[in-house]
Amino acid sequence: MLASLRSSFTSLFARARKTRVQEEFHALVDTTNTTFSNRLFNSFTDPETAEYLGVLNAGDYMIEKITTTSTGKTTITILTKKGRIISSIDTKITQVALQELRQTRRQSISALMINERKSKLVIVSIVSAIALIGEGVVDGFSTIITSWSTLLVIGFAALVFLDNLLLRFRAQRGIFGNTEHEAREIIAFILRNADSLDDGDGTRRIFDPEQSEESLIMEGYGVGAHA
Amino acid sequence: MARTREEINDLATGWMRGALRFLMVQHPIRTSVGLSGGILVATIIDAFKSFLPGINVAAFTDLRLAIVGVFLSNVSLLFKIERFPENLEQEFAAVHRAIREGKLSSAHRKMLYLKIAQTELDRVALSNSERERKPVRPRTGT
Repeated sequence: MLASLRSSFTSLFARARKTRVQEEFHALVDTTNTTFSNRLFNSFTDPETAEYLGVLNAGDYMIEKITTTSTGKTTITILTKKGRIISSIDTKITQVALQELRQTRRQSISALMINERKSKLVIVSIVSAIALIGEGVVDGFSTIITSWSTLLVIGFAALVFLDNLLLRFRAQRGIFGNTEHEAREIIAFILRNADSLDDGDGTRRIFDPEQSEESLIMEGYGVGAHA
Repeated sequence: MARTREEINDLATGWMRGALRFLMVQHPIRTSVGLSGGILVATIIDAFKSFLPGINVAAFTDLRLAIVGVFLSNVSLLFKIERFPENLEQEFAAVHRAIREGKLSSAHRKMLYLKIAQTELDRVALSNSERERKPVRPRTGT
């Protein structure tokens, strides 16, 4: 079933490449983030697409990830109940479009969470440094090199750093939020920072649309939004 | 069934984050303050041991005091149960029940979790915008 869906999706993009969709895709990139996925799907209103969406049952899929590299290859990952469907299309997003998107997009929740963890890492490093310097001043700096406390403090700071790396990795891959604990972590963050999330236009998303200079990644878009 | 690379990444990093949570990295500032506080207290006790003749300071090693510090800084979390509003808890319970009954694939599970989070985000954003739009009624003196 999944293989047939994948092949129909691939053929869809193969046909799309020959038609007007490339130009349309250019136009879609610099639209607002909210309507991006809906407009993308609405642009494929041919019988094959309708059949494809019919199989999926409207509302039971989401665009998990859209990655566009600077070489102009766009990969779209769609998450369905049965699994992932990944397909590619050759497009070239201009630097101007990227720049516009950067200016209009709002910082995602995952990016805000990564920033928060980063500032916590800085605080942990400062506190650890104070403890080590204090110990060094009293006991002598030569003794702290071999002491248990040094190992504990540096080891803990390393663990916090590792946690930061893992969080960033999972957010970039779009796998952050897969577990109940992470979903709770996201919601706790939202509730904790409810006052500072001052956007009423609904453009803020859980995942960052752009993770690096090289790639444009849109994740968590259109959750069951297409009817 | 063979797992894809993405699924292996998900499982491995998810498991590692779970292990780090167990090692109290979830609240890093608390833990590090406890750790460093314990070490500093041990250092101070060590420096002033000549002024404490009646106390056996050899028992207060930096390792032991660091462990006590971590425990004291995190002990309040043991009694604090993080609960969300009832509607969110019900949604989580429903997903949890479906997972237990084997009705959800991992992909569908992710969709549902993200949907809960995104709905909550939209709700918060909406309530913020409504609050901003609400006109401030001028006070009238009596």
